[in-house]
Amino acid sequence: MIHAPAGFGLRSAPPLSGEDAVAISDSRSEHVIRMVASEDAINAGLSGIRARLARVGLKAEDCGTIEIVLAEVLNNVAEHAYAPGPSGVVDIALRLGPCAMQVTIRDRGRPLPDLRLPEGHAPDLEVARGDLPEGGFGWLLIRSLTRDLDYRRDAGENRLAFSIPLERAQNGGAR
Amino acid sequence: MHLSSRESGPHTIVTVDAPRIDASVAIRFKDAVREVAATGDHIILDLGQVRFIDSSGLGAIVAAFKHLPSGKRLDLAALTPDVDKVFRLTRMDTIFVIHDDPDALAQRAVG
Repeated sequence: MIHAPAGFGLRSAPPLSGEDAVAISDSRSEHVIRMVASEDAINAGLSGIRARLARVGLKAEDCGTIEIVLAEVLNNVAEHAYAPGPSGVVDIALRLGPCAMQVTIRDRGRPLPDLRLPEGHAPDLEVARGDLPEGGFGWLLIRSLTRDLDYRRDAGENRLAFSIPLERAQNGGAR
Repeated sequence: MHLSSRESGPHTIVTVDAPRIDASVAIRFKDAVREVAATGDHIILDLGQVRFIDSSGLGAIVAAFKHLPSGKRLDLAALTPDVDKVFRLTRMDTIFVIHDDPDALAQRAVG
């Protein structure tokens, strides 16, 4: 049995098998998913999240924004927090508000270097074709699409929180 | 990750037949584009089937662009909304010529 990190209000969570993303809690306001931080599990998990967001009536534009941000954050967890080394689990808490989606990502991988969020500056593109950047876009995308980005390291756990402003306010009386 | 290519006048249209270009296919994508780009001088990468790219996918497209033999052109076409968003936010839409329709090549305003 895998024990869920403190703060989720759960004393234990179902064991993960392979690439499955598991919903470990689900209320009207918050949806929490746990997945293995591997490429395949992240892809499958993102598809599931996207489908669920569409089902609760989020516009395609907002679903796209959320998927872009989550893909970048989760790829960072897989590629930098855990790799090299065995992959681990990552917990994604999503709380949908009227104007924004609140997100909290928790993992037990390595901390961010210097415990600092990267700046995510736009790379210089006024360069010869052969010198164009092939990377460094991830944090630029995250910072462009989120507000209130916050990183904490506590008791061996990384916690990244942010909100994603939505294009259209959710209609009153949403399901 | 499947790429198909066809000639359309002076252009080679390379259609990416995959819903996503992301970290899991980035390396295969780079190699596949390099292979099909070996022939043809003006390549149009048709991304109409691609619903999603992440920063790794963007990096793979840039890498394919960078490593084109000199004198060859690589344009993009038919960007879907979420893919277009990634290009705009990173300002990579100022680097590529982006067409709406790979066959019509009515060039959209760049930048």
